[in-house]
Amino acid sequence: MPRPDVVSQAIATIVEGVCKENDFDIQYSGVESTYGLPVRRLPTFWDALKAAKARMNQQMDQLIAHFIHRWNRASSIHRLPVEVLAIIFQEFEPSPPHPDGDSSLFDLLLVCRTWYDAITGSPQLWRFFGAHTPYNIARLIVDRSKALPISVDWRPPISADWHLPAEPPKWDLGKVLDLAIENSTRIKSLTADVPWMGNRHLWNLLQAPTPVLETLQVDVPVTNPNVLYEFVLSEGPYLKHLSLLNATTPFDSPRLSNLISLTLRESSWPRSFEDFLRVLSSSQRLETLRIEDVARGTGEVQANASVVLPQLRELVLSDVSSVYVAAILASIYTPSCTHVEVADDVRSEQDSEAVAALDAVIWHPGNDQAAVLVGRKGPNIIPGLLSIQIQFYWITITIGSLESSQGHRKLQFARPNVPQILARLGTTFSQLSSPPAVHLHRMTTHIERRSPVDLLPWSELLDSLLMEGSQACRSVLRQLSRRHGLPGTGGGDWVCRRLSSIKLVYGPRDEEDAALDGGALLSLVRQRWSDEDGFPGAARPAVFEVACNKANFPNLWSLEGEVMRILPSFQLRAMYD
Amino acid sequence: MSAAPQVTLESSDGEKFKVDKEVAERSVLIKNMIEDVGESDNPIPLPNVNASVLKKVLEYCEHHRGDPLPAADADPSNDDNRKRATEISDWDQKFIQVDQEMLFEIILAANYMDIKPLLDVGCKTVANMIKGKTPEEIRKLFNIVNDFTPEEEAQIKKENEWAEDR
Repeated sequence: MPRPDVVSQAIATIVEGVCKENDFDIQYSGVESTYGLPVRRLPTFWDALKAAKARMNQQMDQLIAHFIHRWNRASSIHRLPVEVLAIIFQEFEPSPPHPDGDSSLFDLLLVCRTWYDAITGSPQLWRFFGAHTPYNIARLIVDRSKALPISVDWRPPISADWHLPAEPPKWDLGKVLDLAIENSTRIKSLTADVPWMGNRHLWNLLQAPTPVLETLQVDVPVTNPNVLYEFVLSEGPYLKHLSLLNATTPFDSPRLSNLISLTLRESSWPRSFEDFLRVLSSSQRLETLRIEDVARGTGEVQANASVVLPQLRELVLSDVSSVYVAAILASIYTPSCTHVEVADDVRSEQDSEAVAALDAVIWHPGNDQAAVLVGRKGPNIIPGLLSIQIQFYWITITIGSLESSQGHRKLQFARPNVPQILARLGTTFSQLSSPPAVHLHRMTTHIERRSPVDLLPWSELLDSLLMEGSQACRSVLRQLSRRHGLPGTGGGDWVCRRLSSIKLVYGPRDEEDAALDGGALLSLVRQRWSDEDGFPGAARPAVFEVACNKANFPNLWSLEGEVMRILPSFQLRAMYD
Repeated sequence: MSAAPQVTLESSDGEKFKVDKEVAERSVLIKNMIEDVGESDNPIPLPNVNASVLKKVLEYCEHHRGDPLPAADADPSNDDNRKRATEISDWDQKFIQVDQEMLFEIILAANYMDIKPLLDVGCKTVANMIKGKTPEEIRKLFNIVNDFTPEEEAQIKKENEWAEDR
């Protein structure tokens, strides 16, 4: 309990201080006064007293905060120097604070004074602003980033249900854009959705000096097929990364001469294939090349230049017209490539002649680029099985590997003449320095009218095969019963001598032909595995399975026991009954 | 076959550790010291790292002895570099599962000894501890007390408010 005289003295001191501060004349006698103050001035005095109390409280808060701040130094994390705290804080973005606890830099500011000072005093943490940033915050970010390079992200925020764009922000985008233009010399990375940014604004920004710009992404997601957004970059040093969607720029710009990554989507494709190759040939450091959804087909392409891209690791040609895919593959050499995704646009088969000519440039024995594409040459040779699927008019080659670090390769070609490309691939693969083991799968019965697969080019490669449809099955029975060798020698080795698995699947409506099905099967088994003709038999497959409708193939089913006697691994499986 | 060259490191509490030079040179500090002083039998003093922490740091260096060293000129502000540098492998995750005291000691040692990958692993681990927490939860986690005055806190909130338009 404080002593009354001490309290009284403290109050007297405060009152004295307040009176002095407010120039009151203290009188301790007279009818007009209370505590010696003029009664008429009491309200003023009262206000001053309240202000003094508030100041005292504030000073007390500051004193307490100061002591706590000193106490906080004992926390283990505060033994880390500011530069290390800043490394930790780099994991957080200057994004909106999240009420649900997803931390942003703005949340961390409120933890304590040390963190506030570390965060606001580390310019490298204030890296970007954009359409999602209100002007006052964008201004803060620009100020706090000092003179360091910044990124501008001008894409609409994505709504919760992934509809674009979400509700537009309520702040003045023009002011934020002006801020970006004002600071264009510091922009290191710019990502913009054109309709969102507005053509004029983006034009102004790109025309402004951007001497440190390294990464540029311009997207026109909602496109008018008759209008291509074209922009011209201001002069400046080389860009490192360029990504365009339905937007284009003159590809002879000196700024595009030393790219590390290039992504072109939809109508961003350059005016000519030569322009495209020029960019590639001047970008010797290119590590990533992605071309997506370019369905435009022309007959103008010529694979007359071999562009070496020594650093290219990732090659993605997805839903691109066959003629462009074939022309690109025929024009480049990518010795370090470990990630390959190639998928022709399946509608582009009309370019058949040009494509066939380009295929001949790529897929021929001894072509190193072909070996790199299928993972048999380069930094990561994939030891896994090469899987080939043949569909109606396209062919898919998947080279899988358990180790993702070894890269991934998937090539899908749309060709009206599947047997032609298949034969080319077989010949090319079989003469690789380390030929891959191959699984061949001809899918569906809808391709019955198409030519059957010629197994001879694949003879040394095939490890397993799966054929669907009576025509394909009969062709296999016929081909496997042959040996191949020099004409006139009368000998040679069995076709596909390394086969360990054979699966033949007839269609549900296929009707039996006793000679071509059961007869051919028995003949094959006797010739290939019984040594009856005096020649050594082929290696026996671990799996030989035929699946068909039992009711439709009575002759085949009657031979089951005879076939199993010669080849115990044989299985006849009833389907569709 | 000749044995791999070794160096001796001395912790702040006087304990000596004999390790392969290749392992010790994961630390840029030690690498530079060896280059400056040349081959010597004298132990290299590490006055800022005690024995228990040094043992742990050397365990990390031993495991990563063959890894490529980070480029000295790697731009830390580059998002790709930063992300690549801070992806924590399974082994590193297990290695860094220590109490807070030891975690910060390891970070301090990595910073002092200039072992960037270890510093990144430590910092990323702390960041992961922070992620998804409110300021109050973060304070509790690290034994920090709010040292802002109410006025300061209000001022910071106002200054950093994502206002609709200001």
